[in-house]
Amino acid sequence: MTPLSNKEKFLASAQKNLQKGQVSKSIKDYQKVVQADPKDMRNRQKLAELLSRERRIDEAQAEYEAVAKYYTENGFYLKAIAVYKQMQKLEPTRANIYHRLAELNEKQGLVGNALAEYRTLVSYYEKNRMFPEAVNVLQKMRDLEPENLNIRVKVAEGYAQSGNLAQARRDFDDILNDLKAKEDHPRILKLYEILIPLFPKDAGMKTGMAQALIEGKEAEKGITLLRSLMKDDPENRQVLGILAQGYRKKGDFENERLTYHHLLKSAPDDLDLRESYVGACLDGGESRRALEELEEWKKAFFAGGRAKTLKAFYERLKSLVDDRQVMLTLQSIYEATGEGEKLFDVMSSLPGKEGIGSDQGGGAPSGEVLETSLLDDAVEDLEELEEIADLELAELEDDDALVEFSGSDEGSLEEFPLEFLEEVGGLAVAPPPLATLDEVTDLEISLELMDEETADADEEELEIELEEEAPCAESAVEEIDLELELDIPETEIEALLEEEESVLELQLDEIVEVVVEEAEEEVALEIELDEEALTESVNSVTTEDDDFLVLDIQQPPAAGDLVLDLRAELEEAEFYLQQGLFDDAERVCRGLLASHADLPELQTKLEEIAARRNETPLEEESFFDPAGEMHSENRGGLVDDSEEETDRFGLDGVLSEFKKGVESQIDADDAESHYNLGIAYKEMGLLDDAVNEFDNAMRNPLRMLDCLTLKGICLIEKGNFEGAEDVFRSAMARTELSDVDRMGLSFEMGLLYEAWSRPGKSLAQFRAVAESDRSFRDVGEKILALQKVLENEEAKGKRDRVSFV
Amino acid sequence: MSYAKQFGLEREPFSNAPDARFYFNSDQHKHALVKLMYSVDSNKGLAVVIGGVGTGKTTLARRLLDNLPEDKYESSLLVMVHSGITPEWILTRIAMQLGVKNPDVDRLVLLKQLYERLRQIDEEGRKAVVLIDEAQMLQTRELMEEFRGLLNLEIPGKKLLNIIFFGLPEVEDCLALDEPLAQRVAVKCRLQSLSVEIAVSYIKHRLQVAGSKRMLFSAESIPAIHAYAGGVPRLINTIADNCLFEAFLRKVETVNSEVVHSVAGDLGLLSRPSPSPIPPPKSRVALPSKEPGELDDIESMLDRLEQKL
Repeated sequence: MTPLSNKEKFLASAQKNLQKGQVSKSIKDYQKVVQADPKDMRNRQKLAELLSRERRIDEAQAEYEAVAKYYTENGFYLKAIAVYKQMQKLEPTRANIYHRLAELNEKQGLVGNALAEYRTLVSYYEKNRMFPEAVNVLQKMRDLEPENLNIRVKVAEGYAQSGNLAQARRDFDDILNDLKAKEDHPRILKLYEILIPLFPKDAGMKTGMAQALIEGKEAEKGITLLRSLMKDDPENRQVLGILAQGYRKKGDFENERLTYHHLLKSAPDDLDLRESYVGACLDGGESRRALEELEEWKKAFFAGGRAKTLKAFYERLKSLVDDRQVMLTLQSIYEATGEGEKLFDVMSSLPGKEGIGSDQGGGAPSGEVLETSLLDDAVEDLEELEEIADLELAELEDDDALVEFSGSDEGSLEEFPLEFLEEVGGLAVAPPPLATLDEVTDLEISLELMDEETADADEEELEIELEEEAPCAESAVEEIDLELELDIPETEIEALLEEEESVLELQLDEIVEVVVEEAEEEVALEIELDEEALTESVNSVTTEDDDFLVLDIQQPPAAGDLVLDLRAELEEAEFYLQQGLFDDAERVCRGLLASHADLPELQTKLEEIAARRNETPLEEESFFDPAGEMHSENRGGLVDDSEEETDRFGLDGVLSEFKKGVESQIDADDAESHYNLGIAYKEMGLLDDAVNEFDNAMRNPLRMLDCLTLKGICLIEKGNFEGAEDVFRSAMARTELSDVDRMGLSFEMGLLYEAWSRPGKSLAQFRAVAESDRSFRDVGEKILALQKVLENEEAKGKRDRVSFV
Repeated sequence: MSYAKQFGLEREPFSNAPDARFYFNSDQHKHALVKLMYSVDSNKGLAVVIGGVGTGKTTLARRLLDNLPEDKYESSLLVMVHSGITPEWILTRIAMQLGVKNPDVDRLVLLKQLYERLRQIDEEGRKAVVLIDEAQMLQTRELMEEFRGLLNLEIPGKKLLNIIFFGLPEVEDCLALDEPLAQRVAVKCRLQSLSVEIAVSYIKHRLQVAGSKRMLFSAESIPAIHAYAGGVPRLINTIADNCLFEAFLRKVETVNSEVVHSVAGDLGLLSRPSPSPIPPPKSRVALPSKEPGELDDIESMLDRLEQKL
């Protein structure tokens, strides 16, 4: 007896036993069948089905797995999927089946299905706190959908949950960077809501969140968060930088300025900060302060390639400040940038206008030398320099506030009294004494450039004598001499000397500050530049090389520094005060008290600090604490609820969106895969799954009719006749059907009514088919059979099958 | 006056009137149905279902009838209502039920008519099935012989008629009246009374079909009902029905043991064995202990007998 005949014998026996309802016996027979022909997958599958029917799960799974592996190895992925789906139904908790299913779906290009399997796995692993496993699955999901933000977030979160914080951080940073590139502030905020609980000790997270708040529309919250961060780390430059941005966003330019001021304290050469500081001054209406700052740093701006910025600032200042200095600098800038037309405008507007003397201290003449040097730096054409010198000379004649720059031997000394007091006031020296000073101080400055007839013909020495007089208290006259040494190369000197006069303006803010050392005294300050003073000069302006004119003001160190410090420190105290850092504010004020014990403003500031400090505890209680608030918000809902936790980033929502997206983007190949998978499911009796797949596949218009038909057939098999009827009717209602399509559908409807025990309706459908094509499938036989059934029914009439005897 | 509304029911759950909706597919009924279908589909000829009073024989018969679609089976259920019937009468009724249009009064002509009809049915690819309920009423040898004669209507290699008797255990006495007929019994099923566990499921099932949203019987009440009913479904119905009515009258929401005992008293069931808990059967399916093997043996034996015949 050949093995094949054995197999047939066993098969017959199996079927007979099955018919008798003797499943166990049938199983034994099928086992023999499979033994006789191990590659007979159909019968092996039947065996698995019977084993599962008998709840012999392990054995059933083993047989199913053998079938599934066979299909997989031979490339029948759809069939393999259907088998694994059977296994999954049998044992829904076996994770490896989900893996297989996902992998197979992926191989088949059914990304949506694969993701669905992976999602189930992730939920399962998370529920069982198997985070590394969850991460592995999430990574696969990410590989499938690299652009899917939600999956990326879940992956990163998974790393964090599994303890791999470093990797989590890297992933989150990548996501953040992407979001930042898109300026997607709401999502950035959401991400931080996830991040902060995960990295509670990472202040950078809160900083980032604050930035997101600020860049979003919640600057106030961002600032509050930053202030809370500053309590732990008041000097954190990143925090301070973002804080300044926050103030800007909020329109609080004063605090923005103070913050930049604070930052500049430790990084005075940072031109970005300096630029922002000036911007804050300008936007805060402190044009004068902006001008001072710019005048002091314009050289650095030029050197740092920021001529454009500088130009913009000065052009703004032009309309804000009525100051000759603005025009002069603008002139230099236009020279440097080569904007001839603008240059001409500026130059033409300079003469005849109100002089610097009328400006309230802003037009300190000390800037002229620098201006000249900048010009030299930018424009190497001496001819041009000469022209400007000419021009400035002309201005000088009309302007009594200008310091005269004279290259001639005659060196006619002209004195230009400068009213520094307001400027001093602007420099934040203690106000009350300054107010007094304002009224009584007479400041005179004379600057005379003398041609020194010395053996060293190369060198010109410029001496500035500052004379301070106190007319009301004659004994208290002090003299401060400033010597300006001007080192000019011979050729330049010669050129300069050819000019009758040259004008040099010096910006003398610092000098003025020096002068105001004795605040309580009324002083008259006069700066004289003469030959005598030259010999006793203490400061000098020297031309050091061919290209530069350098102002080198050697102020008396103690006095000058002190005044500047006072101003800076008071601003510093104000900054701390504004940020609620009262200890720091007080520390700064107390430090100042040591040297300025009698400065009333210090006392005022201290009182202000004390008052604010008293307000704060109450305020702090109700203070908005974004981080804390978020925690508490989360505790109330999303974060604590592990189910919803996955949706904190809108994951489920977006995933479903994503699914919709995938579904709507199903191309023809995908639809075909769904269609084939539907058939495989149908063959294995997985009717619900089959219906789902046909639903998916029918998005491809070419498969619409097939899918509707097969869906209807599945529903008939399920006994859902009404559903099947609906499906067939909807298919029938389609306009694009061909005659053959209609025949096919009518035939299926005939089968439906036949199964539904409605022979009349069934016959009508089959007859409709036969009218078009008598040979369509077995429509003739169907009609005959139905006619007989109906005749019999007729014959029986309404005979009751139950009879009482 | 109905309690149904009071208990939120759509219909009375424990009516003894045949109602297919209430069919309770217990394991033993399920098995019996499979066997009977097997018997019909393989043209075994004669099958017998034996069970005590109220064990669900009629229900099973009607269920089987419902399972025999007309396109595949020419089937009929004859319910014996008295024992005085004659062989001619039963033959005529069977002929009529199977579709013989004008049954002749002459027995031989009638038999011929019936044979022709049976052949017609067979040609249609259908099977002829006659179910006889209350078969214990067929108490004469002539009747038994008539049935044997009908079973002999066959074409080469194929029986043309399947007969299934449903009856009390006395039906075996009737069969014994004609030994050759007794030997033709190809499938025999016995319906047992329900175990207490099955009784719980049974009561829940009927309540559910009646539209109950909750369990109307307390846990301890059902073993009492089961004990009074002796596990017999029809008695369970009667007791449970009365219990619900009693509960309705007493305005209690759930039937408890007190209600059950009261009803048992009214129904005169207190003389039955104590309603103390009946030890649960070893198997959830109340079938004879040797049932599977035994039936296999019987089947094999009958197969052998058929071969000899």
